[in-house]
Amino acid sequence: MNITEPNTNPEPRIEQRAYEVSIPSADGESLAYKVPLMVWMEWDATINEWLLTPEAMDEIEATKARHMGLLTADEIRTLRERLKLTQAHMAELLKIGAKTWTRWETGKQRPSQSLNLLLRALQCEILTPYMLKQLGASQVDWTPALAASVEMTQPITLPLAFSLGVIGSGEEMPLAS
Amino acid sequence: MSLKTVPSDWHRDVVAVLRTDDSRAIRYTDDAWKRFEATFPDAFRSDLHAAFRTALRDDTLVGCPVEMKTPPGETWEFYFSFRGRRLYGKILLRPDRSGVVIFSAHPPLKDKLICE
Repeated sequence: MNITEPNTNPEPRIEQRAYEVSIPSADGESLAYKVPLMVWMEWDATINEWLLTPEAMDEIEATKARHMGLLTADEIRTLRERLKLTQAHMAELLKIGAKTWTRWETGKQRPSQSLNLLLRALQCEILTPYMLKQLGASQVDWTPALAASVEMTQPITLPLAFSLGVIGSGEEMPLAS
Repeated sequence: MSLKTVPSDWHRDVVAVLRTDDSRAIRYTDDAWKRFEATFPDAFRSDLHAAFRTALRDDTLVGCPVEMKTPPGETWEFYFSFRGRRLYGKILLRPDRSGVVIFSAHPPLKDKLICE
C-alpha cells in the first residue's frame, strides 16, 4: 500500500498568485469569458504543486456566482426572511429537498441557474409565494390558478412569463383573451 | 498489473471528508481546479463533491493506487462520472484521514490508468 511516513514540512509558503475564473455561457455549456483574480495559494513542497487556499476557493466561486447572476447565501436568507417563511416552506414551494435550501443559505451549495431565476422573480416581487404554491399544485392546467392570483386585466410581462417557463414571442403576453 | 478494487476504508473516509464540504479539509491543487473549471465552467465544488461521493459509494469501484514517496497519505486514481461524462479522478487521503487533496477531476488525458 502506498502509505508513506509523514515528513517534517518546512514553513508553508503562501503567496498571492494570478488565477483566471472561468465564467460560463448562459446555457452553462461553454466558456463565456475569464475573470482575472489574485488569490492566495500555498506551495506544498511534498506535492510540488500550488494548492488553492480555502479563501482562494471561496473567492473564485463567489466571483463565478456573481458573474452568473446567482444570489449569494446572504441574499437567499434575506429573501426568505422578508417573505417570513421557514426554510422548510421555501423548500416545499420550490420542490427541492429539505436540506437544499439550508445548504444554499449556508453557502455550501448554490442554486442552479434555473432555480435562481425563480428566486430572482421572488426577490423582485413579480412572483409571490402564493402564486408559486398555486402553480406547484397538481393540476393539468395551471392557467386558472395563475389567473386567480394575478388580476385578469394585468398582462403577464415577458420577465414573469419567462420565469414561469412560458416563453412568449412578444413583449407582453395577455393572460386572458 | 491490473485494476484493483479501491479499499473500502479509503472509500469510507474520503466520502466522510467530502460530505463535510469543508474547504479546509478538502484542498485542490491549482491545476486540478483549473482543469475542472475549463471543462465545466458552471460547476461548483459542491457539484463535484457530490459526484465523487456517488462514485466512491460504489463498493465495486476499481482504480489504481498511486505510489508516491511524498506526499504522505494514500492516493488512488479512478474513473468517475460527472454530468454523464467520464472523468479521471485522483485523490490523496491525508495520513490522519481527516483531509483530502484533489489532484485531478478532468476528462482522461491517457487511455488507461497507471496499473491497467
